[in-house]
Amino acid sequence: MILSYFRSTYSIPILATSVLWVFASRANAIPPAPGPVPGGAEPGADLRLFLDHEKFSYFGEIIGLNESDDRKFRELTLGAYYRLTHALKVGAFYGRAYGLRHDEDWINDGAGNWGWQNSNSRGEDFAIADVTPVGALDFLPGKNWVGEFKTRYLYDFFNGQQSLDLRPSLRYFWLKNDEPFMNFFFQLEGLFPLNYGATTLCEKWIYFGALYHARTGLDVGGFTATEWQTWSSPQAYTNQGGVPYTVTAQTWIIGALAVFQFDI
Amino acid sequence: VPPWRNILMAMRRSARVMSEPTAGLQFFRECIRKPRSSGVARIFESVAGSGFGMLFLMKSSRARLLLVFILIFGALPDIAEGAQGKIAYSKGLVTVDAKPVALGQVVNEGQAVKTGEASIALVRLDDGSMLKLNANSELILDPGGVRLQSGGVFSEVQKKKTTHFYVRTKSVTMGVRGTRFFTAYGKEGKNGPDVWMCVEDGQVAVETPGNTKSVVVNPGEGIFVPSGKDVTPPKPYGWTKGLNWNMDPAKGDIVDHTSLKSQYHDLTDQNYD
Repeated sequence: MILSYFRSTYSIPILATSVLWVFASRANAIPPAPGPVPGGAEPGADLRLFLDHEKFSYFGEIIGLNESDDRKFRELTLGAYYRLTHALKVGAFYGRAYGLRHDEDWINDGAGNWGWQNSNSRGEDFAIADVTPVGALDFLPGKNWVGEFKTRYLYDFFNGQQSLDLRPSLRYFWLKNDEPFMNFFFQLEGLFPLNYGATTLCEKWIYFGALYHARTGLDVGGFTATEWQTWSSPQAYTNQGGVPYTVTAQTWIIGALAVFQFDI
Repeated sequence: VPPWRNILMAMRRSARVMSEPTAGLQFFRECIRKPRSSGVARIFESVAGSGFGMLFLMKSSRARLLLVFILIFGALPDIAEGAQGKIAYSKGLVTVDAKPVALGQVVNEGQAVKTGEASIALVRLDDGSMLKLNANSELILDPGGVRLQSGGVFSEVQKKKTTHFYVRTKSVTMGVRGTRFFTAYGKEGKNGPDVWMCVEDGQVAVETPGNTKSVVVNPGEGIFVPSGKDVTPPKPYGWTKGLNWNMDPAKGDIVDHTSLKSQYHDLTDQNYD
């Protein structure tokens, strides 16, 4: 009887207190750092279009890559290059990208659970300025070498993040009867944060690929790339007492590439 | 060519006939055998040449007076731009008006110099300018310059004070005053062949028939005239680095191995990224 009375009188407040305590304790717990991000091989595709008119080269590109942790990166870039000199071109582009993961995407869902936000459907707009010196490296064995050093400044309108993208590349042209038959390229790429992150280099790539000159104005081929992405602890995480971290994910991408180039 | 110019040229050539007996003899033979081209001017040329030659042989005082007059007249530079040259070097199959050439053979205005496969020819013009005709090429000597009919030609033009030397192609005309440049046809398009040109030394002004404004090409630069289109802006082209500018066989190989096909593929001009 006494027990029954006790239950009916105090059970509801006790239960409520317990739930609040659980929530409060979870909310106040030290947030966990993300675990290793699974890597693996993923498919990709890249379609580029150049429309050349005198010193201008209008450019459009669509990229689709799957990345580690079930991320689906999609990007559209539109703009133009202008050939300042034979050895230097500059460009300005607009980009819209989906599936980018930022440091701030390590979030608390409000219920005390931390995890990576799915950004596959989140669109982000970019302004891109490009300076690319290019030159023949005909002193190398085989002569038909071209070197390029792509330097890009990126401004992400989504979060105000600014980055510097450096991409040196080396391309060898295989000519048959003085006509391009194939070309092989090797590229390194590094993305350097300018106003965010705890690391100097947040993304690096190594590319190797080949293009077959199918016909005038069309090259088709493929590439393979290894990508390392590094994220560091966001402000919201450290504010809650999280131990600063950096976590790196590696993805191996095998992709198809097509380049259209026409004079207009 | 205006009639007065032909007359001046005839007089100038007559002077040449008298001052260079060997060349003159050949010229006489050519005139007698076959006029180089039809027209009253040619006949006049032959008659004038023969006439003055005879006067010279007569050694009369009147003839001598005429000779002096003609020699002075003929020596005046750039008055009558009659293009005349000599074959300074030939290798392989080289013809003038479809007949095989001999070293030192005179090439007159209107005559076509043609090279075959793996052949080359050097033509020295009256004013000292030198032309190097690549294999599978043809050019015609014109007043004030040459007309490139096919293939490619290197031009080393002596400086002129008053006039330009011209290289005419089917789509553009290049005018120069003392320079070294290379002109060549490229691929055949719907509206005729493409034209390529690059400058090693001096300046070249390029004109297309529809444009009154000429494009000036500086040393180290080249231009491309796509079939039926305007001249592209001058810029350095990678393919020009391999051109063989040597025109002196004594100084080494004069054959140029640059393929015209490769001119379509300036590797640094390819956009991939």
